[in-house]
Amino acid sequence: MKYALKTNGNTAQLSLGGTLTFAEAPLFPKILAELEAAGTLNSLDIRLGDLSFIDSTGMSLFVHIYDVSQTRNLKVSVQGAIGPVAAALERAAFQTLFEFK
Amino acid sequence: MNRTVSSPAIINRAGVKRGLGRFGRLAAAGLLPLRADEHGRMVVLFEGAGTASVEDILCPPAAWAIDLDCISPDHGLDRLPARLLVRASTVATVHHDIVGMVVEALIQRLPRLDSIGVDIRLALQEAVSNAVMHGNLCLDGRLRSSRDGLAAFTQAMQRRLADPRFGRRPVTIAADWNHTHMIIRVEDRGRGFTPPAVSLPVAPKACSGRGIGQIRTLCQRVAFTKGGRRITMRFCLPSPG
Repeated sequence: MKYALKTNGNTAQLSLGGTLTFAEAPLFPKILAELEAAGTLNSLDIRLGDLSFIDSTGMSLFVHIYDVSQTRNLKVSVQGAIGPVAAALERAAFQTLFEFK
Repeated sequence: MNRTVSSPAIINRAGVKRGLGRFGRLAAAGLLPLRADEHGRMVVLFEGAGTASVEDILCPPAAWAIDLDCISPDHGLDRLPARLLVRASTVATVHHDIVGMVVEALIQRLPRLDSIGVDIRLALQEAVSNAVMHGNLCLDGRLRSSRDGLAAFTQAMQRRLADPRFGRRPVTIAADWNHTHMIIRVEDRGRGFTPPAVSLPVAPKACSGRGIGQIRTLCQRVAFTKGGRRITMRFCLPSPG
């Protein structure tokens, strides 16, 4: 999996690409730590256009991001999910946790 | 699904010739139950940890691929009849996209599978994830429910992958099919578990517990045997044409 976290003022953009599966689990604490180190944020856009596959372990990253958003009053939106990724996120009812664009 | 009589060819891609004699003897004794297949029936021996890519490891005529880095790489193969089989160490299963490779190999042999390829990949991915994380690496998924627990979970994962007693345990994927359905078995060498009788809906905020429910949704039938170390998933095949 490839990921990039970019910040611009109070806004951050997290781009995920490739596959997000159990094999990538060791990266999750690093991504969450980078997100918390990004300073005071109002909004986070998660871009998934380049993500081709996700499993249930991969989906747990989104739940941790949701937990971060709740403690930091951060508005999170998810953009660009397609195919099996979009289907998996919908099946997990993540539209109840995040705004989907 | 008739058992073949002649011995399959053995190809050794490993850097050293270890294993070749053992598998050759098993093949000669008829103890490698490869199914007859018009795409060929060759056993490929490889070293998963030292291989840059395994993408082509099940290209015809290869039908079985065995990672010699596994603990006891031949153990129990005589009880896993399959047209397509891969046995890879836990380390290799984490470092390579074994599931994607198996699904591609299945579609290569059965192009009509393409329409349900995503379902098979999702179910197989969850089964392999369980075999690796909760089976061979003996990790408790419930740990992931907190940030501290997630850190402990991933540290334990990396520590055990580096430990040959865990990292060399095999994950085996065995596929067999006829005109109407496909059976895929996934087996690990962990401590086993008792699967839930039913899978209840999981709350969106839950960090774990989705995998088995997802498998049950995607398969026609699911069974756990060998104390939870083997899952057998049955899929209906799309009609030809």
